[in-house]
This record gives sequence, structure tokens and C-alpha cells, in this order.
Amino acid sequence: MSTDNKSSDRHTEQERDPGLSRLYQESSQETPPDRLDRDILHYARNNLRKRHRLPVSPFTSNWTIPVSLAAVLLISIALVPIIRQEMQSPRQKFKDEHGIAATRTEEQRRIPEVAEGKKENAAPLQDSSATDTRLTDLGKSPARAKSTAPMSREPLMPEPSPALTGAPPSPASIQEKSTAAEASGTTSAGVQSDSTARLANSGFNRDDPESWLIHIQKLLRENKTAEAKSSYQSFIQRYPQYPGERVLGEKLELLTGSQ
Amino acid sequence: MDYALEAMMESDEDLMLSYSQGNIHAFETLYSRHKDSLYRFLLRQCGHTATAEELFQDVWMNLIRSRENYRVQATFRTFLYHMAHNRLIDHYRRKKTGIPVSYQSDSAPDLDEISDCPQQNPEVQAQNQQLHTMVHAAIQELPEAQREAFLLHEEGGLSLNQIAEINGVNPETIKSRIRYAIRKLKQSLGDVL
Repeated sequence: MSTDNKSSDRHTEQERDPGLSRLYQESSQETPPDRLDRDILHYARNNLRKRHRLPVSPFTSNWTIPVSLAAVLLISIALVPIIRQEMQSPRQKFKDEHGIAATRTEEQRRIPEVAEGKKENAAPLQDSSATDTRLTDLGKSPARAKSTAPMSREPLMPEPSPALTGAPPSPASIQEKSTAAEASGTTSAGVQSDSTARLANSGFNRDDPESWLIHIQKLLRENKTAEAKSSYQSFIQRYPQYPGERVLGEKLELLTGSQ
Repeated sequence: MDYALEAMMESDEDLMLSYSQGNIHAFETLYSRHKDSLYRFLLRQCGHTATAEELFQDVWMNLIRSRENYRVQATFRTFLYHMAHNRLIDHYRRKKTGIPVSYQSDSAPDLDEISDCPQQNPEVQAQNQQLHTMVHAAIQELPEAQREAFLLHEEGGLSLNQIAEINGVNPETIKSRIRYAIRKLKQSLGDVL
């Protein structure tokens, strides 16, 4: 490459006539007018400003896309807990506000354990219903027992279910049980254990409104309308603002009205 | 160190790169270095002051607009005169006569073609102004391609290869064009040389 250039320069010099070059240089003194110089330099300056202003524009900058993406991501993350809270059911909200969830979990955990234990050994089951049984053993009426029982376990129902209190079942209920036992093929000896199981199954935690409502619905299914209504009134007294329970109340009203 | 002095020490290519990055002083230095030779080149080529000024302005404006695309692939001088050459060709195309035949033919015209050029009176030649006029007239008599090769060589200070690159022809062709141009000018100027 450099050899080519040297060769070219040598050739160029060979083609140059010193006399003619000198004459030409002497005769060529023209310069562009000042007006042109000013115009061109002004144009060069303006062009520079115009081009340099562009990157400052927020619409042409490269940082807009990553910043937008980061903003969208942050907003999405911030919205997740809010949306989750909004999606919570009114009942869950109620429980959260009244601190019911923890109690329920604990009680729910205990009831299945009791039910399990009953099948194998009746003793734990009797222990589980000991609170109510003990009250009757002491000769106290359930109403009096309520006043001595802890507030959290205090039943507001005037007449608790016989299954819960451990009181001797009425002849009608014994008849019902024996009929059910015969229908299911169990022996008369198994009636006692069956009633114990039902006792455990029908046991509910009054601190847990959901469990209570299930109990009321169960009573309704068993056509114990009066008992269900009484239990429902107790429920309303205890949880007057519990959401979504008007339907059950209306149903009870209808049933008792028709009777 | 004073910026003007510093800029004067920089190469044309560095100055152009500096201008493309936003340094107006670099352009001012570059412009002051090349404006006169480019203007004369265009003036000799087209022969009209007004047209030369228009072409001169266009060349520099094209250079300014294309500054961001400037890459050091050749010397700045070649780059500048290449733009001037292209602008001249555009100018010829717009004229009714079109691109001069001398550009399309590699063969140089016979020297006899200009043998009848008027010989100048030696007394008149003694006067500088008249001498200059005579030189310019002799140059103007050259075919465009030869004139351009001669001017790029004398005014632009370009080598044969650079002129060949600008014209897109073989360096030998340029060599030939320059040789013929010199011979014709010698014939025209006669005893003045």
C-alpha cells in the first residue's frame, strides 16, 4: 500500500511541471466571498445544535423503554396484595376483622382428631365432650353452666342440643337412632357407639361462625326446624353483622311459618 | 494550549471526526484549510462565479449533513473533492449539454485540436493581471476531464491514485489526462513559461 502511494507520488511529481505550477499558483488567488463563509459556518453551527438536541428529547432516548418496563413491573407487584384483599370473601373479611380464623383452625384441627380417636377408642371422645358432660354431672343446668364456662366456649343457646350436652336422649331420638341403625345394618349394640359418633360430628365450635352455620343447616336437613331456628337466633345474637346469613334466616322463617 | 493552535496541528480526518462529535471549532479549522482551494477548483471547472459559489455552498452543506456518517476510509481531501466532483457531474447533467464527452472517453484528444489557440503577445504577458487572465483562459480551454485532473492535482494537491479514485477511472488514465493538460497549457502559454 505504502509502496503504491510512493509510486503514485513519484509519478505525480513526474507529471508536474514546476514552471506551470508556479505560474498557476501565482495566478490563482481567488477566495470565496465572506458572505458564503458566514452562511456555511452558520449552517454548520445550526446543524450541530439541531442534531445534538435530538438525544435530549424524551421520545428518542433509549432509557424510556427499560424505565417503562420497570414501572409496569413495580405497579403489578404492588397491586397483587391489593387485588388479593379485594378478592377475599366478605365472610373471610369478617373473620379477619374479628380474629376468628385462628380459633377456627385450632378447633377444626381438634374435631377430626376426636372423630378419628372415637372409632378406635371411645375414651378420648368422652374426654372431648367432657366439658358439657361434666357440667351435667355436677348437677348444674346447662343455663347455669353457661355462666361459669369461659366466654369463648359459652353457648348462647337457651337449650343446647342433647347430643352436645350429653343429656339422655329422648325416646323419639332413640327410636330415630335405632331405625337409622337398622337401616344401615348395624346391630343394636352398636347404637351407643353410633350416637357417640354423631355427637362428635354434630359438635361445633361457637367461636367459628362457619361451623355454627353448618350445624344449623345440618339441623334443618334433619328436620329439626325449631332447634335450628333457636340456634340461628343465638347465632344472630352473637354475630349480628355476619355477612350473607339473611338467606338462611328467611328460609327458617318460611319453614317455621309453614309449620 | 490554545484550541486554535491545537486544532491546526490535528489532521483533517481527526478534525472531521471531532466535528462529527459536535466540535464546531474543528469544522472552522477544516473549513479555513480547504475553502480557498475548493472554491478555485470549482470556479475553474465551471467558469462562472455565481455557479461556482452555488456549487461551493452545496458541497460544504452536503459535507455538514453527512458528518455523522463520516468514516476514515480515505483522506479527508479525497472525500471532500469526491463530493465536489459528484456535485459537478450533477451540474453538468442539469445543463442541456449533459456530461462533457471528455469524461466519457479515456482517450485524450489530439494535441492538434488546440494548436490554433491564440498565442499571447509577450508584452501583454508581462503584466500580471493579463498573465493570470491568460493562464485562466488556457485552463478554460482544456477539456473538462483534463482540466479537472489538472486542477485536482495542482489545486487540491491530490495524487494520481486519489484523483483516479474520485473519477472512478484507472490511475493511468489520470496520468494521461494530466500529461495532455500540461502539454496543452505549455502550448497555450508559450514563452510565458
